[in-house]
Amino acid sequence: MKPMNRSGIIALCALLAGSAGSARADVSMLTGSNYPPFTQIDWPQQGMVTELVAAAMAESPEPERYRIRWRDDWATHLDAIRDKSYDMGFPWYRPDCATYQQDDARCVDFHFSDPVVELVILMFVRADNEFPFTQDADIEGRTLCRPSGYFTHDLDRPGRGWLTRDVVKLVQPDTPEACFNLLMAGEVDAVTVNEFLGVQQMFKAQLTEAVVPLPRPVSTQSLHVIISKTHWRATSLLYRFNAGLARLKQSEAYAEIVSRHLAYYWEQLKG
Amino acid sequence: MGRLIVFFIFAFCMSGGSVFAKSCGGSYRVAPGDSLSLIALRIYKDAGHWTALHAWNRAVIGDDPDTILVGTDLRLSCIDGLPRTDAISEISPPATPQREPATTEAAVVEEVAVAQEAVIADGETPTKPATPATPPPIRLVTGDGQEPFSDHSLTGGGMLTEVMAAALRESADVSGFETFRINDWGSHFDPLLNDGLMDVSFPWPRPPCTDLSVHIACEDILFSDPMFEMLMLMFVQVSAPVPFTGAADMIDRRVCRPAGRMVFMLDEGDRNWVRDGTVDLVRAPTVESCFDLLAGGGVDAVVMNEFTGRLAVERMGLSDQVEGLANAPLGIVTLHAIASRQNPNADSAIAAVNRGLRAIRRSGDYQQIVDRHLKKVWSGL
Repeated sequence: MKPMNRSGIIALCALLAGSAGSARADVSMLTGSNYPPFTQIDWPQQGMVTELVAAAMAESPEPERYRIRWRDDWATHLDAIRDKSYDMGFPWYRPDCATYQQDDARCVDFHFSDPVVELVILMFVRADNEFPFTQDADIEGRTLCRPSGYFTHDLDRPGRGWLTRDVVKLVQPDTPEACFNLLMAGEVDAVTVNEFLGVQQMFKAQLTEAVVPLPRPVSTQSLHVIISKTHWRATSLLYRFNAGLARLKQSEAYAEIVSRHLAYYWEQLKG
Repeated sequence: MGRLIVFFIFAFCMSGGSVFAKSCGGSYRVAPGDSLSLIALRIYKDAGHWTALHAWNRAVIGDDPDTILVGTDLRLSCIDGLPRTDAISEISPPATPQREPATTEAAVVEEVAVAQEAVIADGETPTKPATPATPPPIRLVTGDGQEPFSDHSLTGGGMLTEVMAAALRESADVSGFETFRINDWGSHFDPLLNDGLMDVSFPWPRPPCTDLSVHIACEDILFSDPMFEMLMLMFVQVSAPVPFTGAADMIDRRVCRPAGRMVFMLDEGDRNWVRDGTVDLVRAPTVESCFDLLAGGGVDAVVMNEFTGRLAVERMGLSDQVEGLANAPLGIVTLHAIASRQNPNADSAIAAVNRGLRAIRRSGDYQQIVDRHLKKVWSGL
C-alpha cells in the first residue's frame, strides 16, 4: 500500500474532525521552530517547552484534545492568536504586566499562563574585554546589542531605566549572529540574550574561547502559554493548563523533562 | 432579514384594535411572585401585553409597572379574544414554591424580530410568493443581572443576548423570534418553558449530566451547544477568606447564590454541600444583594461565575474587600440556551439556535460580538 502523503493525512484529519459533528473542535496551540532547546520541530519531542506543554495538557482537569501547529514565522504569531486563528500560543515572554508595563499591548490583549520554564538573560562579552557587572550602574555608558524584535523591557525596568534615562546605547541588528559579529568587531561592549541562545551562538561562531558570559544575570525571564483575553474559553482553557502544569511541577516528570533536554542541548553543542 | 419593531407599540395597537367579545375579559388577583409580564404571558400568552395590563390598571398599580402588590385585583382587557371568561380559573398562577416573593420584577420587552421574507418555491414566479405554513416565532426569554452576558443596561442587552439574536437571524427556516426580559430567573424553566409560554431561555450553565439521578435538569432540559465557557468561583472577604481545601472547611458556612440560578456546582465532584446540608445556602434576590451580604458579614462566600462576580465587585467598589478564589474554582461551566422537553417546540427551537450559532461562528459575527463585550470587561477590571 502506498504510504499516505502529507496532504492526504491532513484531509483525513479534516474529515475525522468534521465527522465529530457537534463535538467541540480540538484546541489549537501555535508554536514555531528554530528556538532550541524550547521549540524545534526536529528536536526530541519537538523541544523542551513543547514537551512540557503537552505533559501539562495531559495532566489538566477535564483535559481537552489539542493539536500543536507549527508556523516558523514568529512575527505573525501574536496576530494569529489575537484573531483566534489559533486558540493558544507558546512560548512567550511576559512583560511586567503587574506593574509598569500594564499598557503593553501584550498585557492588554493576552492572558499569560504560569511560567512553563524560567531562564536567565546574560551579558556575553569579549574575553579580552571583561568588565565588572556587580550593579546596574556598572553598565552605564556601555553599548549593548540585542537582536531586533526581542523584548527590551528588562533593560528598562523600574530602578534601572538604562534606555529611558539614555545611559546605555542599544544596538538592534536583525540576528543574534550580527550581534556577536559587532561584539567581535569591538562595536558593542556586550550581547545580551538568554543563556541558551548566547551559548549556542558561541559554539556556532567558534567563539567559545573569545567570548564569556558575565556571571550576574541581566534578568530572569519566564516562558508562558498565552491566550487572547477575548477568546470565548480564555479563562477556562488557561485554568486547565495552569492546573495541569502545577500538577506536573509537583511530579518528578517536570525535572526529568527539563534535564533531559538540557543534556541533549549540550550534547548538540559539543557534538 | 429580520424586521425589528418596538414591541410595546405593537401591543398597544393590538389592544386598541381588538373586538370585545362578551365572553372575553375578567379580572385577576395578583399572587406572590407575579409580575405584569408573567401575568400577561399566562393570560394573553404574550408577555408583551404587560403594557396593556398596566395601562388598564394604572389606577390601582400606579405609574411604576415594576411594583404590583399581592392581592391587587387587575382588570383584564380583551386582547385577541383572550382571556375567555370561562378559562380564567385555568390561568391562576401555578404553584411555584421556589420562586421568590418579588414585587419588583422588572419586565422589559426588548424586541420582536419577525422574518417577513416570503419563500419563493421552485417554478413559481416571484410575483406569486408561496404562502408556507410559517411556524410561530421562537420566544426567547432572558433576564437582568448576568453581566456581561445579559442585562438591559449593556450594549445590545449583553454579549449572549446579542449572540442569540445574531444566531437566530441566521437560522433561515425560523419564522422569527421575540426576546423577552423577565428578571425572575426562577420562573424561566417553570412555568415559562414548561408551560410553553416561552420556548428558549438563556444563559444557563449546564450541569455535568453524567449522573442523571442527581441532576434532574439533564432529563428535563434540552441544552444548546455551548456559547461561552468560564470558571465558577467562590468569592470571599479578603480579610476572612474561607480556607477552602475540603468539605470540612465548608461546614455551616453560609453561601449565597442569587435566587433562581442553578446550584448544581455546590454538589459537584466530591462536594455535596447542599445535598448533605453541609452549607447554609442563602438565596438573595440579586447578584448585588449576595455581595452586600458578603461585605456585611451576612454570608461567608458568594458562588458566582468569575465574570458576573468580578464585574459586580468592581461596580460596587468592593475590590479591596472581596476576592474571587481563581486558583481553586468550583468548576468549569459552559453557558447555554435551554428549552423544556415538555414543550413540543423544544427540539426545533434548540436546533435553530445551534444552526445559528454554527453559522455566526463561521462568519465571524460571533467572535466580533464576544470581542466587543470582553474588551469592555477587561478594560474595566
